[in-house]
Amino acid sequence: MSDRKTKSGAQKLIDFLATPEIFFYTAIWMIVLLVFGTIDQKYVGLYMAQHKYFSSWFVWVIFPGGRLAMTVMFVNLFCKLVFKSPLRWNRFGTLVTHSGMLLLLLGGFFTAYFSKEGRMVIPEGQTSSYFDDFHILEIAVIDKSPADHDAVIAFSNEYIEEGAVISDSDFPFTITLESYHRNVDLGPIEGEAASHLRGAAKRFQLVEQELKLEHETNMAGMLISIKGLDGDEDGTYLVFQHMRVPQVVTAGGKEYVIELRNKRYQLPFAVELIDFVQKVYPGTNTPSHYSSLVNVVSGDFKREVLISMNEPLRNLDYTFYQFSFFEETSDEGTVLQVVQNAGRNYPYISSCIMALGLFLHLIIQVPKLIVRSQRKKEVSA
Amino acid sequence: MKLRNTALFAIVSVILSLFIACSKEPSVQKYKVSKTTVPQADVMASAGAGSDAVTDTGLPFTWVTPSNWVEGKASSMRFASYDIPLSNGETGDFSLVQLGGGAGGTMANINRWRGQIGLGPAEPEELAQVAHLHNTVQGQQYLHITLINPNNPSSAIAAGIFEQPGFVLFAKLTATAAGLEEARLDFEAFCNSIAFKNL
Repeated sequence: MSDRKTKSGAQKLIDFLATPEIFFYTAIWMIVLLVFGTIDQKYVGLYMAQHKYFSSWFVWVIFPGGRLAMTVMFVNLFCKLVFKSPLRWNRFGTLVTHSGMLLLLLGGFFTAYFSKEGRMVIPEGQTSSYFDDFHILEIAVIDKSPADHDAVIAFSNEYIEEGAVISDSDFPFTITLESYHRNVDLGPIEGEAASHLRGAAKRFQLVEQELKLEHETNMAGMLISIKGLDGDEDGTYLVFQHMRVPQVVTAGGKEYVIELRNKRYQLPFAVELIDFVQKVYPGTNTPSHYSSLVNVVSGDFKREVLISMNEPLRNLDYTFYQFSFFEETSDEGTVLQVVQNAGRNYPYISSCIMALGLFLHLIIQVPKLIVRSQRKKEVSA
Repeated sequence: MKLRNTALFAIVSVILSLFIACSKEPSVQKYKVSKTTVPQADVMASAGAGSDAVTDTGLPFTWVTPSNWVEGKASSMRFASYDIPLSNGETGDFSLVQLGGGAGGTMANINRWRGQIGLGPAEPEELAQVAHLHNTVQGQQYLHITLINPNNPSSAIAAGIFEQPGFVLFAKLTATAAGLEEARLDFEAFCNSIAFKNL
């Protein structure tokens, strides 16, 4: 009783944070989220379900989302391990198991915040040194005037909201986002176009569409007003994803391309597609096997690698999986899924540590169990 | 006691710092890329991003419409009509028309289109210069034709002629010469996607 009275606020907080019941109930809550997320995936698609239930701090406004639940689990386990688990040999297995679990959650943190995932499209005989995110967008202003390179200024996804103003010292105009929709279709403008409309906006308007379940197939579009262009080019422009002919504007005598595109990640090396091979089941058009023979180009060094459906290429932190392909009249090429995941090895390492911990716990507890069972026998005899 | 408080303070600080550091702030990235010849936007679209589903209107054939084509005004002649957004606000006009029998013959139609863009009739041997056999994804051959009047680049025509038993299907794109080039891959993708149900 007296001990309880002397506890400081910090101690009380640690005692609370280390309560085993927190982990127990949080784990149950994670199962609830898993069930609802899996069911809802059918209706909102995989990407949105992941965001709504597992990557969010809150779900259904006030309930803890997956991210909050896992943070609580981490803090609880950490406090339990550091402050409430005495270093005794008979607890060694439990300590190791808890450490493995902490490592698993830490890996989840790295994956959530530092992983990148997207696609790399390479026509046969060509080389690419970047990949595009599947979902995250960006606004790119590209100065095409240098003879040997394009100067790219990419504004992150957070800039893409109505009313946002985009400017930079590297280009002499200002862009204001008038409207933005994550999935649009184009519709014709009836009658005469307003005098402030420029480019494709003179003929077309954005028609907002419902989000598709396959999130990457949504086509985002925006209306932007630009001030500071040459001549009478100032006005409202229409820009959307995958524009076959990007919007070009002129300012200060230079041409700039403005794109709304998937976020682009530059790689510290390049990948050249030598040959893409697609095999089909005999007598059908159903593909049975894809593979891409590529060169990994780093400076003057080239390494030839065959990427097939279950044999990805790993280079530095990046993994390249055979994902898809495209065929056109004159072009054929491969589509690779590229993943950079700083937490990639954590699940393997932490699983081994947890397995070791449980094994040690079992070994340590066996003599105790034997003694207990002998005592029971003696009592019953 | 002090050690516990310090450790708790350290934990809270580290966790808060991590979340603050990882919070999504608007960022601007600047970099240079060497001039590329890869038409990335075109390739991305053909690789599945933003592409439309198969259009089936109950006709004996289906097709896949490029995602940036806008449905245009239909008419009794046109099974499908699309406006194609091009640079500087221009619009390409696409039509899908079916005619019975031999539709007057391939040469007659090509010469009619040549007349529409200010060119005179072509000799059969000139056909090889403007017409090439392509294959649809279904494996059907069709004649792909590109007509450009070098003296009048404001009007050019690309066409796909699909000869079927009892009828001929014409896919036709009218635009400026530059517009035709811009929409070339989309047009080819459309033609290649046409699939006849009876096959």
